[in-house]
Amino acid sequence: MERCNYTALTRRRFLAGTGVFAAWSMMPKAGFAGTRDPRFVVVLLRGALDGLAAVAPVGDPNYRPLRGALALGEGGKDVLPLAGSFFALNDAMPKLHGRFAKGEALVVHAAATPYRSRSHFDGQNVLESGLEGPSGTQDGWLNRVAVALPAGERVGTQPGLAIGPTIPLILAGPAGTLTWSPQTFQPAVEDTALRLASLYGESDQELAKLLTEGLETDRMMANSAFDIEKGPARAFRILANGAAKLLAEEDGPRLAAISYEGWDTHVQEGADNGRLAKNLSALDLALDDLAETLGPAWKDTVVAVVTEFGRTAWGNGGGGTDHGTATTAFLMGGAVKGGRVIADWPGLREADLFEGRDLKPTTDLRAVLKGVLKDHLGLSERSLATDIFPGSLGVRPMAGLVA
Amino acid sequence: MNKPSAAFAASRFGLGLRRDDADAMGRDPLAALLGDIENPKPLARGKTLKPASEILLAMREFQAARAERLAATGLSGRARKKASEAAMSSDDAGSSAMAMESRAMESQAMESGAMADGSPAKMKSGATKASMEEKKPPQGAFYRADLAAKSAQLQNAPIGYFERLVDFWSNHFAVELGKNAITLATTGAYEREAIRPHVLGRFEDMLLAVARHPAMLTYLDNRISFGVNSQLVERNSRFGLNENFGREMLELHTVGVDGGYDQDDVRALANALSGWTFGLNPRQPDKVGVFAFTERMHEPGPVTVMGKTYPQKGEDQAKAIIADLARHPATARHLSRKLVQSFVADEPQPELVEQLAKVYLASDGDLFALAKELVTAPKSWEAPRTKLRSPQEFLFASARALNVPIKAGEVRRTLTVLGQAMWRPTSPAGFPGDSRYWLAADAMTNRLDVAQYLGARSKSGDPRAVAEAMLGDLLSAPTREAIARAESPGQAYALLLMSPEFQRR
Repeated sequence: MERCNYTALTRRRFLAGTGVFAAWSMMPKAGFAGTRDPRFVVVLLRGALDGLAAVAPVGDPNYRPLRGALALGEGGKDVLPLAGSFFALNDAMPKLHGRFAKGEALVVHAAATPYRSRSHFDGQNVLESGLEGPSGTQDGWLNRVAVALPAGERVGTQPGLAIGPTIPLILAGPAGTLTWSPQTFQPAVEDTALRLASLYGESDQELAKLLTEGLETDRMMANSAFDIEKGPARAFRILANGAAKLLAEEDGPRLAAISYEGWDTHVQEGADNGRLAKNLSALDLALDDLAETLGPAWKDTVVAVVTEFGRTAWGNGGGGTDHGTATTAFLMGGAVKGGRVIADWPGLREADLFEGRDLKPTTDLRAVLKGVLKDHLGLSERSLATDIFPGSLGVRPMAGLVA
Repeated sequence: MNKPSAAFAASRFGLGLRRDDADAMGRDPLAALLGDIENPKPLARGKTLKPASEILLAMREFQAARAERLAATGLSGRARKKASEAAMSSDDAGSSAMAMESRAMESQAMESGAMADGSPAKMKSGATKASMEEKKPPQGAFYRADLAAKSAQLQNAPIGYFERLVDFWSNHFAVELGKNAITLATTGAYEREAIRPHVLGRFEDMLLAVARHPAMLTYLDNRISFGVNSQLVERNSRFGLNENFGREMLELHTVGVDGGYDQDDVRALANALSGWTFGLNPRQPDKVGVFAFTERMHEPGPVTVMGKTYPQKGEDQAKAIIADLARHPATARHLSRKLVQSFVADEPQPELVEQLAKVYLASDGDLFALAKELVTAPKSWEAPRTKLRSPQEFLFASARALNVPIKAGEVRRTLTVLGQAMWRPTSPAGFPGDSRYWLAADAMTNRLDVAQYLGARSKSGDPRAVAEAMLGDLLSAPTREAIARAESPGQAYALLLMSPEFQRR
């Protein structure tokens, strides 16, 4: 079993800033007979989002007994109900909730890629390569989308554009990319500092002491215990705004990917008011920035928020969860037929769980993505099954996701 | 002795493994280190790397042109004064005008915006319209060119033992580039001209090259050191002897603080060195930036240094002292101890120091023999890997391990954050060789920020494989596990760079 145990230090200055955004300007400007100018953005949540904490199945009678102390929604606390379903959204995401109500966002639950083991690297490799299993491939499915787009009037002359220090696998490939990233020297993320403190604790007391002192200094220097503007939200929003500005341009990019880290919540998950809540709140603000900054282009936009896998159905005794399987994904955008939770709910009795521990995957994430790519970008079903997600012939594109 | 592993050899004596030379080191790391000093990779020379003489000439011509232009506009009293100073400098080197003008150059150093990579020139003076139209003073460009070449060399050198030795000797004969415009422009050239060619040669030659170089003559003030009985002081008693270089040559460069010299020896050496200077007069362009012995600044008469009297006249006097200091047993011990402390152990093993000192004396200060002895001595491999990598070693080893190219601007910013700005030691003693100096309270959090910055930029593939390749037999179980369990490749790379086995050497 994969576990990432580390000492639960509190670095008050909750820091993040390792997002990646990449995009191309090669898109058919008039892919749909000049009536629409579609944008497609993939938001990668690296570290494995706890889907049961982001979108809680509060109406499932087994949810509360199974999750115990980690369960949300006791007496309606910590959650926002999602109309017409027995799910409720984590209340750290009020803006997403608003878009759900307006029909601009939907939730897919109990979804997973075809990957069934629990390594972050391999899981992200599958999520981004679009292949059936981990591989050493050098190109990603979003890059192949750029190649496979129906011929149309190409926007701009640059082959592509990536925002972020490197081009992530999902965008790597023959359709070249330019890169841009905010030139700020970001303090290390809290999670990385905690892992390092744990490593030093095991193997180097001198460095452990120094690191702890340094983190303590950071803590004392921080203005407040909980300052979302200085935490992950700031870093997340910088990237979302950068991405949106370029996507909004008349001749700007039309495909983009943004990475946000910090979802690997093994210890003190804090879905109610702690670490995960802060990260979800940061994500909520960043997605809202993306929508607002895109302006009129928002109506032709689909944003897919995905993660490599989910987390264990129950807590691990350290207030956190370990690597699991199925989880939630979100679709957002003016072009999304929203206001729904799409789930073939597997149930939460012990016998319902995958390998007796994880939410069982009942929806192939590729079906969701293929549905968007088919109806939003006009890719053919055959191309989707052979070029974009090779070997996915049996995974039919989900219909009716796009308005 | 057991064969050292590639990762061990590359961290203790090299610049750190790169993905592509792990194999080359792996077969016989010791042979690879020796090969590196038998056949060092020369510094890649772009067109922008100029000799110190050309650099200083360009600066002087820039100044003269500006002074003339300003004088012609007749707008500024200050400008007129400058122009008249430029005219006065038709006198030969060593004149009082030279001293005054070099002060003018110094005041310009900070005005030039030279430290801001790629940023537009900041014309702070802005007194006249004419000055706004001027080009940027050239010293910043010379500094950036050398920083870029050095940064590239430290990333591209295959093994890096030779480059580590360059750094060691450059730091031994430290020049702080922030002193003034001259040091800013020429410290890179100084390393290329006075240090690099002698790293595998004789110590005496290096010491002599250092003592004749404009950067050192400027940094330790010898260019404005006048014998109190010299002809120029007889004429103008405003000037006098500056002991700075004489003192540091004894205390830092040769016999060391316990080397058995006293204040009289310092004074005597300073007297012998008086008149060692260089040309700065733009009307004699072929002498600008070139070493000159200026008889009229020199203190006449014999001097006695450490019990020996030197009756020689002129330049030969200090040369003879330098030759003796280079051969002094105290120098052999001092240099050997610093080498061992820098490369092997913060508390140098006395036997190893003694062994190196013997080789030094027997070979008449042959630095190649010394470098060879250092890596072949079994004792050099016995000390535990507890030395913390210096910020510079850490940064370049990281860039090499993750295959992330870092540009000169990033090098400058990062090393400044980590407390070891390139060519900017806090004193003439250079950066300490004792790595415990770097164990500051915020050291690891700062390093972590840098590690994250680099980790996010690496595209080296599976971090587990990178860790195995870069750390080899040094990779511990806890580190292997922490890397395998990281939530993203970027985090895994950061943990790899921050692991004790990567931080220590």
